[in-house]
Amino acid sequence: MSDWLDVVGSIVIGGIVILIFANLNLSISVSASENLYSGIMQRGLTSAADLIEYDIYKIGYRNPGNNIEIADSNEIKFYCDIDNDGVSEEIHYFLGDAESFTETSNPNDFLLTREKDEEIPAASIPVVDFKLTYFDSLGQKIDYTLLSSQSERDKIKTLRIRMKCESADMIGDHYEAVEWEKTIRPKNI
Amino acid sequence: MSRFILIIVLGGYITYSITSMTQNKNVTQATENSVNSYSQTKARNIANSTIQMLMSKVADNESWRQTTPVTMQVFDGSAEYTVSDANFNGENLIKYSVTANVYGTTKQVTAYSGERSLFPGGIRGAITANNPVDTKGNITIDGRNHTVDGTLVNGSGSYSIWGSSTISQNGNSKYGGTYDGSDYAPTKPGDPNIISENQIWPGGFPDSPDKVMGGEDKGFSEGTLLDIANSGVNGSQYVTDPDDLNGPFSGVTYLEMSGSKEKDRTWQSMDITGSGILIIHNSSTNSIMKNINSGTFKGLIIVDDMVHIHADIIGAVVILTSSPSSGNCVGNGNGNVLYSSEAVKDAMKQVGLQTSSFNFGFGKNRLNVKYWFE
Repeated sequence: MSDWLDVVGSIVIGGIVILIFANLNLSISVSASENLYSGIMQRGLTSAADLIEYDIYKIGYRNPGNNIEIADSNEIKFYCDIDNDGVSEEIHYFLGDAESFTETSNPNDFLLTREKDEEIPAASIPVVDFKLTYFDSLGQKIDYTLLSSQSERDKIKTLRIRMKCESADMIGDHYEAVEWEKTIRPKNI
Repeated sequence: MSRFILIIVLGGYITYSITSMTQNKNVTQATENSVNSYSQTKARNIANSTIQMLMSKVADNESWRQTTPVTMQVFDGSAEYTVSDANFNGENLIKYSVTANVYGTTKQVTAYSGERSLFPGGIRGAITANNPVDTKGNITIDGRNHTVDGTLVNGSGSYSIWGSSTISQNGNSKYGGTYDGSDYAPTKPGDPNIISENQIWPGGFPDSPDKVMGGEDKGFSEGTLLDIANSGVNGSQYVTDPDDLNGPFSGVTYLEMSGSKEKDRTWQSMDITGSGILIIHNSSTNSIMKNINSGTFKGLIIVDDMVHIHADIIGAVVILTSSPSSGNCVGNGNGNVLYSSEAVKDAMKQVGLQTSSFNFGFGKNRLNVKYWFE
């Protein structure tokens, strides 16, 4: 009788141990995937942020005419001598729509496109949110409706950029997300 | 059974170890990203702050340059900088080049500022005029640079007269000046190098005192000088009747006369003893300063129409009108106009213009920053 009890007990305890390890493995696996995707996205976002920063800091640099031609919540077109060769270039950031971007399984992402001198595209960044906010010399927010006029766009002294990216595929029951926000004061405007 | 459990446990341990190492690698990478981003931002801040410090130093001492690289510690990093003269975009500018280093991350920032920031852009010579200029008698107009006491400073002066129309040197009037670093003592006829006539002012000749100072770009929006005159700072005064003027002049002395009759717009036979910025101007650019008979003025005179200088002016004169009232004759007696950059700068310092309008470095601009590449 006691032998049977030992066998049954061993099976129960062994089963519990196996289940614990299986669950642990599963958790570790999901966590590893999240970390991996998060790391990849963070690297991607950092690169994109570096590019945007590089451009935005140079708005108006060695540009003789109007510095900003379009200033909207998710689009900006400006001029600067981005490569410091004495010739002003046109830089244009704008968003596509989520429906037309089918490269990923994430239904929320769309492409943020960067054009240089209308060469399409100089860079494309999948994002789920991209928002630009503009401020005047006193740090007061400028309403988007006013920014259709050049005189109002000339008042822009500071820009705040917010960007959010999500993973291309679902991790577990959600998409991994990373966000970046920065306020930039270009010195040439 | 025990062997089976051992295999499961060991297998789980190995899986956990591999996964844990992978996770650690990801976390390390994420941390590196954060540190790199932080370092880049910090390097940028160090470079920009260093340039602002350098600009502040140049604003204190315009002749200061550092052509060989110097490294200094700023915040938690280091910055290697040079300050040199450079021709950039067709302009003679001061170049500030800084390479900041933080935790192995470097950032280079280059900026350029204008050279003669403390000097009003509207001054092109001892006399700058928007009209034909005629001189008679014994007047001397010397564009060579002088100290505020009238002592000659070699090789750093300007034109004798810069005009948008003709310049006629008559009587025994003498012109001197500096051209391309060479001084020309006052003579009759004056050397053609130091007489600049029939010139075109890009964008049109300044039609207001604030535009003479450089306009909005240099911090002189319309009304700036009037506001200073009204403020009374350092003896500044604003009057509409010359009889209300109190001498000796200092700060910004602003006389605004109006009226349909010429006599109502004319300040005549005065003593100009004093210093600072003396303005005789109205919105029609037709007020007249006539027969400047006595005294010595040290600084900048901006006047709509100037007739007959018989006194001494050390600094510079800018005449705004294109329709002078008395045959274009700025002098027919024994006057002297000695160009002096020091007197003009002193005039600006008197009313704090160099700090309120140009101060760079931490709040206000003293230099005219032209380009900033970061």
